[in-house]
Amino acid sequence: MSDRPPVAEHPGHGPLLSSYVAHDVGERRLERQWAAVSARLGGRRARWPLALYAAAAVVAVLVALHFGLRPGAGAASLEGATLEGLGAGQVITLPDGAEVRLAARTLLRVSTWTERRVVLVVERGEATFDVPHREGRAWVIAAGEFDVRVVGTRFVVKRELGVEGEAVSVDVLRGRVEIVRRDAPDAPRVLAAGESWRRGGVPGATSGTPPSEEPDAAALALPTPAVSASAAEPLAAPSVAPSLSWEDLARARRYKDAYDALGPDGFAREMGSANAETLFRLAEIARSSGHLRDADRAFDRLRRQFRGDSRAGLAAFELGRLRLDSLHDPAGAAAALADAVALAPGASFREDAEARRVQALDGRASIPACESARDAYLARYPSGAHAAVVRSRCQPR
Amino acid sequence: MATVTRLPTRPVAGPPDAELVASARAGDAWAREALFRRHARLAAGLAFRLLGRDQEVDDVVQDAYVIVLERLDKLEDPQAFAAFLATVVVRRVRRVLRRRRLARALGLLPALSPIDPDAFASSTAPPDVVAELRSVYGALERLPIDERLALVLRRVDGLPLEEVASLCDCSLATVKRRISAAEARLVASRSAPVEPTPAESPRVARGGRP
Repeated sequence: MSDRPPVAEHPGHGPLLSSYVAHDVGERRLERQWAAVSARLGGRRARWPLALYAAAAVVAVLVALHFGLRPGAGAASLEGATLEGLGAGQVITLPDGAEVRLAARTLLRVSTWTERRVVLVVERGEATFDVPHREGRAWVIAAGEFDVRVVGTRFVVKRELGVEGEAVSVDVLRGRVEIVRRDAPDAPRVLAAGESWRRGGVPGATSGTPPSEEPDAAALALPTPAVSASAAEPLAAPSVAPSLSWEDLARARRYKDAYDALGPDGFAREMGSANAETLFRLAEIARSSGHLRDADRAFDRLRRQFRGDSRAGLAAFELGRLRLDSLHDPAGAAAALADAVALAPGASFREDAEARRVQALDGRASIPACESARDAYLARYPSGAHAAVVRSRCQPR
Repeated sequence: MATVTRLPTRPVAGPPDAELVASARAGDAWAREALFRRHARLAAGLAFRLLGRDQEVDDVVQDAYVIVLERLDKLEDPQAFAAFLATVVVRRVRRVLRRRRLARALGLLPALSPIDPDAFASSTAPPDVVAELRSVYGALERLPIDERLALVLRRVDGLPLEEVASLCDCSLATVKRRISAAEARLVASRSAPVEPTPAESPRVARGGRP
């Protein structure tokens, strides 16, 4: 391995053995690994800083238009602005970099927007917040009579008004938040990643009152919330609630929980209407939760139905690896790996794909097919990372 | 998490890990990628030495990086990124080995061929080093997983016991006990065919090196 440190003496056992373990990770392999890691991280951020800045600039303009800001208006102009989810999964990036994903019919209001403090009020519905940490600035989400103080994290706040009163729930996907009843700020409840908290049927809520289309600032503005008769009650202990969607659980890398959250036949149902991004995510959930056949189906559909998508080649390659390493289907692996090369001939994983295809064809009935793949690999990568192994393959048995 | 100081790091150009971690936390994609490129080979090497084969190294490295990049906010000392990553790599390897062992016990996977240290021993390795690698890796698939991990971190990577304990999420006493037990099995394997451990399937035990 090129990064191996100089041979050193192990204090207790003579030469350091790891210095003599050769394990080569070439640039192409590194590229392919990073591509897979990036895809799994969600690809929410652009790869290159320039692209990031350009995207941020576009988003900033859109946000400014969304909030009706005048050119030159300060950030304080955000106060009083509303954010409304018109469709499922609408994402808004705020000027400080925080991202808010709004569920359908969700309404948020910006109560405070200063350098030191941001307060967003959840008027109704459900929103997922991804808030980067910023020293000296407090981020607070107000939902009913509770405040959620943000440290730098990703979490979901939901506020529902029903016949039994108001229900507020918080699910933390990453990082940590503090929840406080606004009239008892010294007794916060800390929620860590993976924890959920729910408070339902708060007596002080307006039972059965449908949310107004326009926020009633007087009724909901901080810091003068309605105080319920149960204000002195301690906050309930956090519990792991099953309210997270499979998408949220997948983002939190709780793949087994995500698979379970799909429910009976849920995987097949979601696959039926999935786009390429969702198929890739479903495949990752299935693969990581041990449902390898489902992962096979999702990768396979992605590479067949979305051949123009940038993930198609990677999906075919992952499918080939899955079939070769875990499903013991060398014929299927060979087909998928050939498809990976066809779909993404310039991809960083091409050398690995071609080498693995030789491995998949080795020992099959058709030695000429194996030899052809072997020779193609050696012609393209005469000193490739797998050349020695590939050269030894396709021998008659 | 205890500070791990002797992990196989090398001098690097560019900003220190702490700066990259801070930028990555702030959402800079380039910083994430820089952290990956700086340490991915070291992570892959560690995973390879623990697994003894290349087959699932990529999965371990990818899983580990997804975890650490999503949990950067849990890293108390940003300069300790490499140690954080190594801890996660060891955990992922343990998970892979457990899953693999269970699948084999249930008959869902064929028995693994024994690890062949000659396949990865460097051409510059002296004979005594090759013999030592054969001794360790020849018996590795027969060892209980926790003993295996501790043994490789100690004997192959040469880490101090405190750091082995840190990476294995266990106490110093426990890691000493595991290494002693593994060493005893190695000695036994040199003198007589090793009986399968209770934790391993008979199919695996029969597949050991002569």
